Amino acid sequence: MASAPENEKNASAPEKKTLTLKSMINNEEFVVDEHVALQSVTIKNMVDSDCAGDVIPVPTISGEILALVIEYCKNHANPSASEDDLKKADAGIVAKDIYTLIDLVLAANFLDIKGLLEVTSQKIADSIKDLPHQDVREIFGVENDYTPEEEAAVRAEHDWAFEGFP
Amino acid sequence: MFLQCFKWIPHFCHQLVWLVAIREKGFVKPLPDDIIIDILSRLPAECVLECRKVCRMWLALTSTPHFIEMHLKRATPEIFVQCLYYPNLVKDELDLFIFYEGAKKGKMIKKMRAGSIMYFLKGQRPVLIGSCNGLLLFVSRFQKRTYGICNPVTRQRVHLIAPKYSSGFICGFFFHSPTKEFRLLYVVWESIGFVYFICTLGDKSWRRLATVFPYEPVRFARSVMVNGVLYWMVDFRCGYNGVIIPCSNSVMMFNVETEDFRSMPHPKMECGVHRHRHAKMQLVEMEGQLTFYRVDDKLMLGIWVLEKYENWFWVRKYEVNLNWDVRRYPFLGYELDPDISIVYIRNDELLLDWCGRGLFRYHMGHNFIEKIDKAGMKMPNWETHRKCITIMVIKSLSIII
Repeated sequence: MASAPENEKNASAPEKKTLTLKSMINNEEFVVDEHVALQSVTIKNMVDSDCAGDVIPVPTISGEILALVIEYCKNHANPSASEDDLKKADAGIVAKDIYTLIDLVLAANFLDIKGLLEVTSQKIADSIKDLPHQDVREIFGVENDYTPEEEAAVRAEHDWAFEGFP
Repeated sequence: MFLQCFKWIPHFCHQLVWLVAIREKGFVKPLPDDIIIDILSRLPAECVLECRKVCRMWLALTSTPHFIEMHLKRATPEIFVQCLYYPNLVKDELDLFIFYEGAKKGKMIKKMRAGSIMYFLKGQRPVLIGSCNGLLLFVSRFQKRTYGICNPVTRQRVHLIAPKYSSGFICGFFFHSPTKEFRLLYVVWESIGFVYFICTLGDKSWRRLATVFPYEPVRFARSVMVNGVLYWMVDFRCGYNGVIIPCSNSVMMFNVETEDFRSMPHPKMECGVHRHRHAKMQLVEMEGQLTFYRVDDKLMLGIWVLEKYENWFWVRKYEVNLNWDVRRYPFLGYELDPDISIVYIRNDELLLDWCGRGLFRYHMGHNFIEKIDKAGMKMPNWETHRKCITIMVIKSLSIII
């Protein structure tokens, strides 16, 4: 029983190609099976158009984030994973602080991994939904460009119409 | 092949610009607009309002029709309840609540600030009769021709006066996708049959349809929209001329694009001479399908789904014995003719609004019932208020134009 998967592994080993992803931020390298990496449309396009060398440099994404991305891709490349397992695994990957999530959403966007983009965006939305706008502004590093008059007007218009009961 | 590789250069350059931006700003990275839109469209509508205060850009990004549509598709419907509590109605207060099913105890109910909505229906005793894409439709109890429409989140609101007839009513409130307009359908009896008028919220003028149809919908029953078609049960007493509506024409429909009316039979069952049984038949939408239900004299709730639209092929889907419910939650003043309607059916779960008793959740498969307005939740009391209107509403940013 135990030897069966090993045999299979050996049999398919010569065909299995690997790719090396290298974070350009801290020069960390990750060796991943090609079919895992190909979930990224960006990488797939590079491989398809023969732009990819042995090592694919990934700009702007740190090793820490790249590791999360690869973990996601590995989970989703596993054909025997059930939907429930994947949901749990995804929840584990996005159980991070908001700044890591913002890095992760940028990485998912750059590498064009739809599923990861979706779970990360949802998690960010869940974490900011109860925050006042000042906190949201700080998290996203956005500057307030309203004049005081405009701000008062937007406030008056957008204070919502429900209150706790009673 | 070589050229293809160049396609990546702009993409990389864009990334590099970000890289520089990151270094400059410390650890906060600016997100591209499409990601911001994607994230904000996943927030509840009132949180989007809060985020509009962040900056001009965010206000602009969340005010486009594209964003509003995207948000609407992602938002989950919520349960709105209006209590027609007589003393409050007299005081001109609107008891409108939102019921958050999933929330923790004590946070399940929120009341709408009455002033925000009463302002435009002051002294009218508004009654909630419908909703469409997050907008609420009210009718005045005093002046039956006066209607009010509002978005309870943005508090945008308009008045509307129905055409000059004493007996007609608005039977449909829908979104006309090709023109992206909100429209209303009004029905009234004229000596030749029922005539219909359409009004677009933007211009508020009524246009009379050429078609005269022999039937009218049940008065103030909410229309059900499935794939661009509105459906209603036909008013079985229909016909000021004494005509009794046959079972084969008991469901009527209106195609909002072609503006054609048609009628069709309800699922096969013996009505015989008991046409009044049609009064116990209602329609609801279930996961994109037209669904028919009725409660019989033995308190059995039968539910059918229209599987084939070409030949009106109804399939019986569920049979729920409401006697379980009565046994588990006994109540005084048991009526022979209870007023029961379905609020929603999804994932084999049914939410029932039993007028005078409360809301009940049924897990169909498990034969399990639960009364969801338990004491301690500060829910307005259905039993004492007698009449509550329960309606599913998607809280949205829809603009009344």
